[in-house]
Amino acid sequence: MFNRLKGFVAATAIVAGISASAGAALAEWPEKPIKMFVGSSAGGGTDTYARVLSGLIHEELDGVPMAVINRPGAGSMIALKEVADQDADGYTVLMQAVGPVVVNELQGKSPVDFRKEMVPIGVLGQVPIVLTVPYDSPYQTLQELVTHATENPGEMRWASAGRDDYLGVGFSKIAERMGLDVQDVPFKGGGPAKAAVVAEQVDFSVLGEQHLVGFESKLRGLGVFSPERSALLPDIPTFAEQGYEVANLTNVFAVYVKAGTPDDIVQRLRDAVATTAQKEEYKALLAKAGLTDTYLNAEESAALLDQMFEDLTD
Amino acid sequence: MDIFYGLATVLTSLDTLGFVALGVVVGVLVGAMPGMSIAAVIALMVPMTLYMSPIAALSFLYVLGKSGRYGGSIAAILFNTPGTAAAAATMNDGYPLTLQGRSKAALRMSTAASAIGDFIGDMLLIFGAAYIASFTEKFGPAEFFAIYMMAFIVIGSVVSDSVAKGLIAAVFGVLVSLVGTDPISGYDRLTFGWLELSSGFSLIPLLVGIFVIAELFDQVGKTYEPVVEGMGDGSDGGAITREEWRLSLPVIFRSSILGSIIGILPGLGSAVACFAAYGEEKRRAKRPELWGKGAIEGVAAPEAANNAVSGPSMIPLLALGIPGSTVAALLMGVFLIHGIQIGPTIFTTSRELVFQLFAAGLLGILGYFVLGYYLGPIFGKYITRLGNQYIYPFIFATALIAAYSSSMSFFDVYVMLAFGVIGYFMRRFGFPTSAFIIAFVLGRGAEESLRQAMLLSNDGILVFLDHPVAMVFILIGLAVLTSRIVSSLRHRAGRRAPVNS
Repeated sequence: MFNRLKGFVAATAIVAGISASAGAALAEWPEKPIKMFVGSSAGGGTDTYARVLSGLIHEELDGVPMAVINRPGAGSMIALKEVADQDADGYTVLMQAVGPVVVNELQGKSPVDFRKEMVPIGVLGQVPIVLTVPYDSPYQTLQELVTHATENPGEMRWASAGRDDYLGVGFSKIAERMGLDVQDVPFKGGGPAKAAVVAEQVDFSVLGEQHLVGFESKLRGLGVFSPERSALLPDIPTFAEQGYEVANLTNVFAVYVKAGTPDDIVQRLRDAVATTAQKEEYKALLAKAGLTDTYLNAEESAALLDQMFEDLTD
Repeated sequence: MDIFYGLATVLTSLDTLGFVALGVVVGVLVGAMPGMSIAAVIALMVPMTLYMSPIAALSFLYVLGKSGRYGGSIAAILFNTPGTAAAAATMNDGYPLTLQGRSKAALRMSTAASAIGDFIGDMLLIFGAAYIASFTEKFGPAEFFAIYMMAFIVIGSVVSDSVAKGLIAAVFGVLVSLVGTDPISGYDRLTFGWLELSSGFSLIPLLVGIFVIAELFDQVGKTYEPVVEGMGDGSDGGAITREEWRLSLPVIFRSSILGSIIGILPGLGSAVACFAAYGEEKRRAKRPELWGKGAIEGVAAPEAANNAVSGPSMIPLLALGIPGSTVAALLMGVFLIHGIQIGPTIFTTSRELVFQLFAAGLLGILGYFVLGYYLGPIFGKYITRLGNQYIYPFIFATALIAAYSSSMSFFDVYVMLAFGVIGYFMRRFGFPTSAFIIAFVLGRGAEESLRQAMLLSNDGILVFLDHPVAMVFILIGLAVLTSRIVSSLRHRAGRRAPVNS
C-alpha cells in the first residue's frame, strides 16, 4: 500500500516536472482556455466588445477559447482588481472601459496603479461624446449655449452621468476651464441622463453618440468633443471646428494584461487581437451592435491613455 | 395595431414560443406547490435567463408570473393551503367545494376566472400603457419623487395588518438601499471599505435570501395535512350549472376591473386584490349564506382579481420605470441586464419588444387556461406526492447557484444567506418582507430623485409647489394613509366595544 502510494507520488512528480518544463519553454502557450474579465454585466458596450472579440480570436490562438467572465460592480474596479490579483501568465486578460480607470485613479479610489500594473494589448473602440440638447431647445448652436451660460452664471442645468463617471467628471473639468458656471445634476449613467434631456428637465447633457441614434426627433447634438467628427453622426460639428479647444472626451474600450506577463505571450496576444480586428466578420458584428470599430495598436493605446489622464489633470 | 404584429412575431419564433410554454408549465406547477412564492421562483430563474434573447427571457418570466398566480388556486382548492399569497382568499370557498366532492368544478371555475381576469388586465395594459407613457414622458425628478413617496406610504400602510410594522419594514428597506455609492456625490457610503459593497447590495441575492431562504427556514417547521383519498380526482365530473355561471360571470367581470385598478397602483399586488375582491363580492352576494361554505362565486372573485393584477402592474414599470410589485422589480432587472432602458421612452426605443412581450402574455393566458382546465386536478394530485424532503434541498441548491451566478461572486452568496436569516425573523415577528423589498428597490430612486429635484431648482423643498402633478401624488399617498389609520382605529374601537358594555 505504502509502496503504491510512493509510486503514485513519483509518477505525479514526473508529470508535474514535464509540464513545468513545458511551461518554462512557453512554446505551449496557450494550452488552456483564457479568461477575459469584463467589469460590467452582460449586455452594454464593454461586454459586447468582449464577446465579439472572444467569438473570433480563438482562430488566432490555436483554437484555444477565450471565455468572457462578467464581474460587475464598483465601476469596473472589482474586475480590475481580480485580474491584478491573478498570475501574470497570459491566461487572464481584461476588457476595460478606460474612462472609469482615469476617474477612479484621479479620485484616489482605484485598487491598483493602472499604468504600472497593466500592459495594453490594443484599443478596440472609441465612442465619440456629444453635447446634446432637447430638440426644441432655445440653443440651436454651441455658440448660443455658451453665450447664454456665460451671461447667466449659475442658471443652466446639465444632466451628468454621475460625479464618479468619466463624462460627468470630464465635462465638469471642461466647463470649469471654459469659465462656464453651470450646475450638474447627477443621474445614474448615460441612459437616465438622456431621459432627463428628452423630458426637458435639464438644458443639456454630455452623452455617448449611441444615445442619439433613434432619437433624432427628440435630441440635437451641438458638438463632438473628439478631434474628428463622429462616423455615425457626421452632421454634428466638433468643438474645435466651432472655435473651442477642449479636452478630448471619448469612451475608449481596450484590452489589457497584467504587467510581468512574458513578452512573447504579450506579443502573441497583440498579434491575435490585431489580426482579429481586421476581419470582415468582426467589423460586421460590431456594426450590427451599433459600436464603432477603431483599432489602435499597443503604443497608440498607451499614448491615448496617457493623454486621457493628462486631459483631466490640472 | 402593434399587438397583432407582436403576436405574429412571437407565433413565428420557436424560441419564444417554447419559453412561453415552459413558463406556463413551471408557473402552474410552482404556484400549486404550497409555500413556494412566485417571486422566489422568478428570482431563482433570472440568472438563467441571462443568456437567452431579451424577448424570450422576459416572456418566460412574465408568463411564469401569470400562470403562477393561477396555479396557487390549485393548492388552495384541493389542500386548503394557499400555493401563493395571492390565492389565500380562494381557500374560503374552494376547499369546502372540494369537501363536497366538487373539486373539479371549483378548479374549472378558478381557471376560467383567472384567464378572464388576466385577459381584461392585459387589455388595459396593451391599450393604456403607451397612452399613460406619453403623459409621463415629461415627468422629471420632482414628479418621480412624489410617486416614490406615494408608493412608500401606500405599500407601508397596506401590505401588513399593522401600519407600524409595515412602515418599519419599509424604512429598513430604505436603510439597506443606502449602502453603496452616494447617487449625487459619487462617494462610497456605509461600505466599511468593502469594494463589493460600493455598488450597493445586489437585488438578486437579497431577493433570493428574503423570499427563498427565509421561506425554506419557515417551511422546515411546518407539516401539511395528508391528502384525503379520492379527493381532487374529479369524481364530480366538473359540472358547473347554468345558474352558477349566471351568478359568477358578473362577479368575474367586476373583480377583474377591481384587480386591474389595484394592479396599476404601485405596491398593492395580487394578495391585496384577492381579498379586496372577495370582500366586495361577499358584501354584494345574492346568496350570502353560502359564502364560506362552498359558493362557487367565492372562487371566481379572488381568482379573477389576482390575475387581473398581472398586466396593469407592468404599467408603472413601463411608463415610469418604477416597479409596482416584486415580480415587476425582477423584470426590471431583466430589462436592465439586456441593456433595455425602461421608462416612458421604452415605447419609442423598444416598442416592438414591448408588444411582443404583451403578445407572449396573451399566449401564456391561453396556455395556462388549456392546461388548467383539463389537467389541473391531475397536477394537484401529483404535487402532493412529491414530499418536501425532495423539493427543498433542490430549491436550496438552486438558490445558491442563483445568488452566485448573478455576478459570479461569493460575496453575494453570503449576502443571500444573511438576508435569509433576517427574512426568517421578519416573518416570525410579522414584519412584511414584501414591503422591505419594494422599499429597497424604491429607496435608491427616491433618494436620487429628491436630491436631483433640489439641484434642479433654487427653491429648495418648495420645488414641489411648482409641480402640480407631484402635489397630486403626494396627496393621494396621504389620503390612503389617513384612511388606513382611521379604519384601523375604528376596527380597534369595534373590538373593544363589547368588552366595555
